[in-house]
Amino acid sequence: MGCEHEDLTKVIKARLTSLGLNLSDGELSKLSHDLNSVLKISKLFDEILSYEEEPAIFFLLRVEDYGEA
Amino acid sequence: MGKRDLLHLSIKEISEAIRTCDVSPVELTASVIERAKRLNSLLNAYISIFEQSAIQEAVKAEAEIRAGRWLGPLHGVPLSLKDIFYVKDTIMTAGSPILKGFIAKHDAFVVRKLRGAGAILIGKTNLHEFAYGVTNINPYFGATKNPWNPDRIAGGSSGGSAAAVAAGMCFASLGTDTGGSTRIPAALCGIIGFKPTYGLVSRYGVFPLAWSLDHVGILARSAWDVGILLEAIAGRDPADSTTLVSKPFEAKQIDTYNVKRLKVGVPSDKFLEPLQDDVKRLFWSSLKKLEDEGWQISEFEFKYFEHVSACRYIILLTEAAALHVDWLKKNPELYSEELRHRLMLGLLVPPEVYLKAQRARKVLIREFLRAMNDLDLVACPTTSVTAPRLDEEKILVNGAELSVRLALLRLTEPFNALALPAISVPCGMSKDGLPVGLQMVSKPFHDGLLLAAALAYEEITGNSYKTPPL
Repeated sequence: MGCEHEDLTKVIKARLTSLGLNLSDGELSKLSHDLNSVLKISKLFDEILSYEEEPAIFFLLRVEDYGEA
Repeated sequence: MGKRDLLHLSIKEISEAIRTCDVSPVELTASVIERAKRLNSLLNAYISIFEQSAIQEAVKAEAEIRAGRWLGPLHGVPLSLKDIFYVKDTIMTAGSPILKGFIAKHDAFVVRKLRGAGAILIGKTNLHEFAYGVTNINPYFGATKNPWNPDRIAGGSSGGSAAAVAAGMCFASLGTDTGGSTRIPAALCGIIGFKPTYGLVSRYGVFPLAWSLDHVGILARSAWDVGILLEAIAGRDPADSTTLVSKPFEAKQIDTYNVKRLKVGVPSDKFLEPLQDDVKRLFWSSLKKLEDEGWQISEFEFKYFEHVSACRYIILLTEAAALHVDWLKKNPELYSEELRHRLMLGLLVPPEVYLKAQRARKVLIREFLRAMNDLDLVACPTTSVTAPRLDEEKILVNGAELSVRLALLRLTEPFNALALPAISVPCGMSKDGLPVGLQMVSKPFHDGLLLAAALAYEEITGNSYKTPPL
């Protein structure tokens, strides 16, 4: 886990440095923690998308999706 | 009727007095401006007040009305706009110093529509920095205070608009809503906050937060007023490709719905809890009154609220970061620490995660509408708590510690991802004198039914806009 955290921090630092954004160690650590949470909650989508009856279409709202208003 | 009472009327009431020439738009506008300027030192609701142009617009409106050319219920009525809408030749800040000196070259679509309806634009209201937050504690323009207790927040991000409407500093306001930014401050300030179906109102000329979640919102004192404003601003706009409906919304639709035996689903405790005791008590007591009048209240079973909130969170993070990345690179010091962190987090979300969130969203809308099939409405409290103190960051809700952000946001945000129309209506006052809001949600493009239900709710429960003691 400690190793994964370090790897993630390295990836974050590389990504943000490439954009010209420099961060303190404290900011990097907080970002690493929060990104972990984001990746964790994104696993919820696998649950939704795994039992689809039909391929999900990228979000685009159409009136026809809802029938008559 | 005293001048102060006049400033707290609904648009329905004041517009009739304007139409019959019993009230002069010029005098009314001058009174509203005087009150807005005076109360602004206490509430910090406005960022700018258009004193000169508002009086000019009022003079024009008065001349037209006296000449028999009354345009409709918004003619001569002073309104405000969140400082995130483009108003031609005026400064727009979006609540940030980054846009310092920015002057809009054109009106937003909805601003054009309001002008066409003869409304008087009083000024631009305070907001959370770039509308990305729900407290309206703005490090650059100051915190907006709650008209019911200035030690409390007004909520956000359209907090200036909500405080201004509640405190008689305008008759209604336009805000935006990406996760609850219209409904939350409306609930905390004791007024009505409405977000239409995604696609009903153009966002052209509104500074974005997250393109696929942003809605224009309406803050007003009655559901009738919301209907009038919605009629004025809804409709197809080629400049916003998400506007879907060419048939404009008409306020008279509201009277055509039978709202005697509406079927209302209430989500289970798993979604609702934790709630402050007063919020829970007032919510259920309002539902009891509706049930006594024939509304059918039942439990609404939908097991994916957590998934919907996850979708919204990830979509918001990613889209907002994409919008701000260039400014973030150039001027990171011009963002608050909180916002800078959120934007950097958004830059780290992998593209496949964002796309999965958007794909899941489509499935979740379908599932939600299936679950709602036999219902007219879904209802829940708007926020878990009444207005928090200005200095609170965490809040204890029935033994559970929540961030203020989560306590305010968690019951409204799903309906942005689901693209559904939603309204917050007053639901009584807590024991310590703070407003509580009740949220109702209907199916897509059933905005008229939702407003009809809100009107009936007001009649049945007696819960309506009340004047704060200012």
